Amino acid sequence: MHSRLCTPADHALSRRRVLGAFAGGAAGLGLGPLVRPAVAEDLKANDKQVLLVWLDGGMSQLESWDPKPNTRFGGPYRAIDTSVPGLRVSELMPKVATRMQHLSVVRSMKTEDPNHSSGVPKILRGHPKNRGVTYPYFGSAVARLMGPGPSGLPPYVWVKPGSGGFVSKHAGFLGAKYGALALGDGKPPNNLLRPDTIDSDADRERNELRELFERRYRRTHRPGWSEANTHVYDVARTLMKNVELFDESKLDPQDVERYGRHHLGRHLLLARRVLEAGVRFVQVTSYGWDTHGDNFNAHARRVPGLDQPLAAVLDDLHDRGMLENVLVVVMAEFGRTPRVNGSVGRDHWPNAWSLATGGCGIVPGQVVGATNDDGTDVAGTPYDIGSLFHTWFHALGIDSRTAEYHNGTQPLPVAHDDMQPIRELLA
Amino acid sequence: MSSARTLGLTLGCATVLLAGSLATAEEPLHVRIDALVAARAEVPLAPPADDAEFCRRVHLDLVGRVPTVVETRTFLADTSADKRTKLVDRLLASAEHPRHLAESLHVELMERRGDDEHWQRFLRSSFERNRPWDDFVRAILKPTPPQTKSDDSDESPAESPDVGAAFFLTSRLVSEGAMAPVDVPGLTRDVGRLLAGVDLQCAQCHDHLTVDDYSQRDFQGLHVVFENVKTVRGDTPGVSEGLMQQSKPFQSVFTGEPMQTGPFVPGGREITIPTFEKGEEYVVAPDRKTRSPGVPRFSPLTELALGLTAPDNDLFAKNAVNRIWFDMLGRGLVEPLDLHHADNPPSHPELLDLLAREFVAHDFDARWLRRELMLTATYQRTSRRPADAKPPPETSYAVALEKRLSAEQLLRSALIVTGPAEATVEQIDARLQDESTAALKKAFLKAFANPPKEPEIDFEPTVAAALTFLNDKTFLRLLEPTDGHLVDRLVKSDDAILADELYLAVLSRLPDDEERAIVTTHLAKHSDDRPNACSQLAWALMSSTEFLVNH
Amino acid sequence: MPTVDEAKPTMPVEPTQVAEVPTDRQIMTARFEPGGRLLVTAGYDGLVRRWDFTGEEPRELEPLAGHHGWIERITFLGDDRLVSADSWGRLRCWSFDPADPAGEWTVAWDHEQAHDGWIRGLDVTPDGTRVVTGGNDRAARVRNAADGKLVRELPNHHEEVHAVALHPDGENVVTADLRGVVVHWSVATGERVRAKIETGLYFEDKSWASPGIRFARFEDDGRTLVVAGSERTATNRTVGHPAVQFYDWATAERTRSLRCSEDVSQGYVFDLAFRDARQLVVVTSGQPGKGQLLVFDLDSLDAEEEESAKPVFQHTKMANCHALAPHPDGRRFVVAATNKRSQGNGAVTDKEGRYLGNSSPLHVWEWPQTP
Repeated sequence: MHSRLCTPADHALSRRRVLGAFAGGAAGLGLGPLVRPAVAEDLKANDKQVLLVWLDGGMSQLESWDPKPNTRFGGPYRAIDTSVPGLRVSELMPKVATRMQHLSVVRSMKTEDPNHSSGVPKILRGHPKNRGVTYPYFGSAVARLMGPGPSGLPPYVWVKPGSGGFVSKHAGFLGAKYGALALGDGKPPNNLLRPDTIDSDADRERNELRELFERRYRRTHRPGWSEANTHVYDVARTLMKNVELFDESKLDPQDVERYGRHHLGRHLLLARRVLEAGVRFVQVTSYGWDTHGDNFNAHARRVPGLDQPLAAVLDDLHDRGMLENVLVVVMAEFGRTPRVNGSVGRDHWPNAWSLATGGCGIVPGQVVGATNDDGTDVAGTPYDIGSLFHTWFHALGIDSRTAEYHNGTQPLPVAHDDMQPIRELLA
Repeated sequence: MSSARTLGLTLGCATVLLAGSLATAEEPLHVRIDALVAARAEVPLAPPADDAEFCRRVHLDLVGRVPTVVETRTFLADTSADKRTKLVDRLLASAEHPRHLAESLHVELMERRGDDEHWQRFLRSSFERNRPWDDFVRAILKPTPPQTKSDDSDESPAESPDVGAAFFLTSRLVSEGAMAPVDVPGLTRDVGRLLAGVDLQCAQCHDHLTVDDYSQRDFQGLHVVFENVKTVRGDTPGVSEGLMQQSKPFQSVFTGEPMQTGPFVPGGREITIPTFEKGEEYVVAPDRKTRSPGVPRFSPLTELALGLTAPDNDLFAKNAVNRIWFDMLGRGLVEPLDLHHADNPPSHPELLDLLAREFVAHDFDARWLRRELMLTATYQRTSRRPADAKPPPETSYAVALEKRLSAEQLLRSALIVTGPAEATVEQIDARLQDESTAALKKAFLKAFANPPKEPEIDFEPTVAAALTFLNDKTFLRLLEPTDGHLVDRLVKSDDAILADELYLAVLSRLPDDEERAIVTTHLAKHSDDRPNACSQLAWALMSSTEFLVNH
Repeated sequence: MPTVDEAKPTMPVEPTQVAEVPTDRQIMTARFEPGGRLLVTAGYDGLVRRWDFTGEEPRELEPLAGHHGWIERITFLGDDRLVSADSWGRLRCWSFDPADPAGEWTVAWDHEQAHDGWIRGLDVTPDGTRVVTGGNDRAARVRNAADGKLVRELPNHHEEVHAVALHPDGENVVTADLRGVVVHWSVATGERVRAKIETGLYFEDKSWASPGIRFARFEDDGRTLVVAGSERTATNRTVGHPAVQFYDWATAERTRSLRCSEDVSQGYVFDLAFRDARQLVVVTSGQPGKGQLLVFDLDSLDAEEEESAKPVFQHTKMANCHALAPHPDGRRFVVAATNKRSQGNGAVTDKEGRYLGNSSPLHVWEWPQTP
């Protein structure tokens, strides 16, 4: 990305090391941020999970959650009725339309940043007040606040097209271990399979030796680095035990059909399986929503491409009784401009956009907020992403107004201190 | 907002000169450094590292690899009083030292952006002749013109080793597609960050919000220098400069106040743009036919190169010594390394002043400075602390700090550790160049290098690295009982000395009794499969933090 | 391929723009009434808008309501009717007095759900007897132009139908879909005829798919099929080269492939017209902000030319050209192009803070007089 603007990240990474110095050498891994202990204890027993569907580049609210048919900027498409009386969505999402009893829509999103490079991290961090540190992405935050849960699997898994790997950047000041394990193209990480030459006993033994040596070293050196090294081996070995998650031959062919064979279809199906295996937070990213040109043909393909697997995963989570505990969020870094540009595209639009959320106690079937008649501004109270983070944290059982991270000696609120949860969405 | 406030004016007088009050100027620099560190330490200082710890540390720092078993044994057996100094001097004089510096500065300056053979040649030749740091930086900032094979001959002219220096600029002047034009602000930021220790990115559109010393003018004045710079085609990397005839207007996105700046040197001053008679602007006029951009008489790059590296440019010298200090001691006197400013004072201001002053006085001789640092008691302290004791603050340098090892250092060390005991440096080098090592090299880079454009500072273990060591076949092959290699030697060695062999090879030290017992127990348990037992022991030591970091 | 009259002198090829008429909405299509007195435009406002071209300056008449969403296609049917198609599926036939086209228009017939959703393609036979439409519902339909009654359903396309063309014989239809595949249908049987034509006017990568065909029409009394749109680039980027392809209808062989620009950001051919038989006029719209008016002299181009063809006239000052309407007098034509600076993130407002939309000014051009 082009580095035109300074981002909180730039102010912050550096600041972390400064603060580390003041805190007496806590800048390294492991010694870093602690959550107020009582909170962490409460959450250990908590079995809530998160599915975040991220539509990178920005889905048009007008072609999805907030249609304005037959208005100046409404575009060519019709609106259709949904399973929630009075709530209409674009004709491009007919399947989700019949499952709107599981979701609520916030139509009054008003955020700050019209750029991808800085807007994506701002939204994914909940855009808290600037404290001179790099806040974690939602997945890293949940990983830190709630832990991996009993599965021992990495708490934050990111399913995405393209390359995979361990993405520590998402963790911000929390430190690398709260980063995302990215499953590129839904594939397992490299080297997940143990070679045939090492049987499970030998594998266990070599690791017992490693841990023994590691403990000896840790006794006489700062523990942070050694703990970090131990941690990545623990995660790697837990993943190795769950290798069947990535075995596509085990998929139910009907599931494959229902979700679709395209990226988002396959990746949302994997996400469901990963959630079933007990991963705390799964983000599924769909790229290519930045439709500055040819917005309407693109959305004619893309929105149904979201509609099909989103409907399928809502069905599955509901049928399995998981929707009570799985928070579902469908969003992007912004929406798209009402006005259509000369390239028949829509540009970046943080001014008045929509997202959908449900599950985990979020009151379903709600429409929060509204835009004006031609969709050019929020009518009534706008919500910034901070309010949504408060709402989601509350749904997950985290009192976001009192919970704090501790970055060295610096206490940090987990969400924007001036914002509040959206009451209509919380029972 | 005062437009007169700039880096050049504030930082120069920001620190208080205390140096010299604790040790006399006649004493060698390393003695004076120790005195200054001791004066600020409010905790007890750890004892010196033992010979083995020192030997491994110095090898990793100076030649980028662990010592071979032979080297370790020789050093441990040496009873002369000045053996540490002798080892430092021998390594500094070895051909491996410039090779290691080239590797290490490549990672520091290019941040995994890619590579270029001419650039490598430039790095190697510069460090081979211990080129003064100011001269090195001038070569980067004002590169010699690229060379092109002449049309009528297949013979390349004898290449100046400096032609590759332009790669620092050209690799940052690449467009990444229609929607991502050449990132001149990024280049501006990198020059400030890496060569002057000031990250001006957040002063691009307005004065820095949290750093009073960084004004928008600092950023814009440096940006102006690079706005005119373009890459030129050639067989080697090269840049050209356009004509600059007037200063550039800019305004703060906050105040909207219109301002102007010409080229501005971090830590220096604004450069007056000269005016020339019409027709006199160029030394070599541009030629449309040959698409030659011409050579303007006024070169902002030259002015920047000279201004930044001027002996009185405090920022330049301080950034240089702070980074070398970080390399050797594991923590910068100023941290983060690229945020030198008045509100972020060094942990030891008088020490930073002293180092900068002496570095300039020694004509920016980095080899001399490294040697002095290595002779300090501060550098030579042990990294071990009494078990389970509360750690002293990092800023006290009371205990030696661990340092991250690069993918290159780890790979070279892994080959030494697992290979034949008598392998020479040349043989290791040959193996690294060999086709058969390519897959291993790739695996190590994936596991231990950061993604492009991310500085490698802290130890950041990854799940990918763990999986590589656990399951990667090219890595595990190193631990097979190949004839004469580590595991083979262990299999064939007597139980009584096996633990010593193992620890000397992998961790460059002898084991203690507890460790000997662990080894013996493991071997006894697996007497039916000794090769496997030996392989497991070596694997477990290599995957532990003690092997993965420099301590 | 249009036939060429060897005796004809070379026509002057440098048109000049003589007027720019502001509009308040964006236009997708523009066509002159066969008598040349009216220009009809339509687009994002769902209105059929009529412009009196008989005076000094074009003058807008009362717009015709009744459609929803967007109107992407209109076409005149004979000299006294107009068919218009919208994105909600409505197909409407308007009737007017050819002696007084500025007078009252009435609805001759109307189908509210001619398609389920967006109608993308529309064509009629020159004799005004049949109408064909195609749409995002993956169907094409042939109708009797007199009463709008369905003659033949051509359903179950694999993809959205983005363009249709009706052969002058009224018995053969081609549909061009999202993936750049052209299919030939018999109206009589409703069956596919001959093999599909893969035009290659389509691109797709991991995260993006763009339809390449925007235009299909029979020329030269049905001997040539012309399709146009965007050709994928070597690197398969998400914008392509504007391109026109010619097919010999008897053999379905491609006879000419004209890449209008090497610059990939030039995007799509949105509309085209022939000037006599030898000159091809195209308008393009790319991304961002680029659009061109191009004139090609077909005689001087190598028929086998696959590389970029050099236009004899090129104008780049209009942004994003979407519609081209040649006047029946052969002397004038109109290009509808989006206003400049139509791109931009966030809210673009006027001095009073009102949110600004875009529009498509009408650019009136004149060919030089033949000497």
